[in-house]
Amino acid sequence: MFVPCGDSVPDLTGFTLLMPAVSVGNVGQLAIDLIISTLNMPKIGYFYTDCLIPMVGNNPYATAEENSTELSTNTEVYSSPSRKLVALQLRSIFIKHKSKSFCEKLLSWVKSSCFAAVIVLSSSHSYHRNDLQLRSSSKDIQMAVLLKFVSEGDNIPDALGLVEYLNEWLQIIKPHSDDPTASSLRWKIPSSWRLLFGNGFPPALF
Amino acid sequence: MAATFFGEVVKAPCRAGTEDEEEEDERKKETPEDREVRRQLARKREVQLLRRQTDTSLEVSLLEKYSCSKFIIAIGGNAVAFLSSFVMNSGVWEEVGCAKLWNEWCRTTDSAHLSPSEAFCVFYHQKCNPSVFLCQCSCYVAEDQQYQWLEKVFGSCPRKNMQITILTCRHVTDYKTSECTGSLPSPFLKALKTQNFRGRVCCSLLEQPNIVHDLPAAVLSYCQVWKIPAVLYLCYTDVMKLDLITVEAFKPILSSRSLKGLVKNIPQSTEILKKLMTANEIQSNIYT
Repeated sequence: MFVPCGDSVPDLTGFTLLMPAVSVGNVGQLAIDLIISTLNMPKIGYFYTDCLIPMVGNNPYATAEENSTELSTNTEVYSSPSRKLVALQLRSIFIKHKSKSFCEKLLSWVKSSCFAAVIVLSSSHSYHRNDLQLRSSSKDIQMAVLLKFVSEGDNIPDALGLVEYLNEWLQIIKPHSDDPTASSLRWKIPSSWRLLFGNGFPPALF
Repeated sequence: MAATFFGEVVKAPCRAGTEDEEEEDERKKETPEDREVRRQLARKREVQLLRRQTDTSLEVSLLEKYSCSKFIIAIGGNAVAFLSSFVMNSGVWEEVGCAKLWNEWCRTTDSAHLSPSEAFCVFYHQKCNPSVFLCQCSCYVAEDQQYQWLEKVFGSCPRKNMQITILTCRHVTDYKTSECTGSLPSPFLKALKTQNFRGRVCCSLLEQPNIVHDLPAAVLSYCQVWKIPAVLYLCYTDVMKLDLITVEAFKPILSSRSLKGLVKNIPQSTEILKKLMTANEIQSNIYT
């Protein structure tokens, strides 16, 4: 269920919901991180269920000492009212046999919040194409899935590619110039992406 | 799929966990017998809260039955040893409940007669001030049981007028830093607190990109979402079994508001802790 940060539930009628699918390379989740970080979207609430593995940490989008100590959980909701955008971020994987329950709870929230549309950012194995993901088609909810074929590894470039593709459609930030290398500079990398590939190594090793 | 250097084609590992289609395929192939086995396993894995004295289940959640102003939860052997030596030995505590659970790591079947070396999860309140609660949890609560545990303990109506303190340990290799892990001065203490926690924290806060999982994360998430003041003290150590130096790393917490008034005689508690270590070493001797 949605639990607001403040005392009242914000009105999200007509907003577009962006959310990730927890998928190969975590590309959808990385892309949502980029959007929340770049647009500096404030947190408006939590989507609290028993469906995802619990995790906590300090603010993954911290930019200074002052905002680095806000606690974050596994499923949080952010919003940009000026762009009529809401972003749902999922930070852990589903508990076994709970993904269907999560979908049902999510769809119920989508309907009750009167979102205009839902956009799912996802990824799939390069060798695998499958069109079974679209469960909402029978529930009269406008939904689109943006999917990138990837392999596991350093998926940051894939996340950048996916948000660029989304941006061409939604124009979230200023469209890119002709220079392709400029695209990665316009998206703010969250501070929590540090040390993705492990700690430092002992200098004595060399 | 991916090809190895030996030319075999194997399923590539995926950081995103089990895919939905695999679960759906499994369900479609299930026979009625498979469904019954799965139901029985789910029943076996249910978390129950009971009173050992009467061997009866609690009718409601623990904090719906009792009023609580302070709740200190120790998760893991070292945190449990710290609370045993410094807090439980400084006052009179009455057992109010015990969580009975079964999973692949925690196979306790008879919660009424636990030996000291067995994993357990027991709840106490202070006799002179019954709104102060302790939980000693040395068993592993699996991911599918963590939310059940929360429901059995906290119930469905979160109360904001209590303060929660959680103590646990993690292996130092889980700590992400730009330094080399070998150069870290373990054991060391880090903290995470909810937005509504106003007290002083006894050590530095856990920096990103570090995160916490399992039962401590489940409790802290619950407190954050429902606006309950809570703090988690996390001891990073290179010794996960019962260890004197690791337990003593929790000592800075003794000056916190949560534990002040609950600890009477620190030198005596330190002696009790040393005896606990010695007793544990004897039990873990393969010749006894």
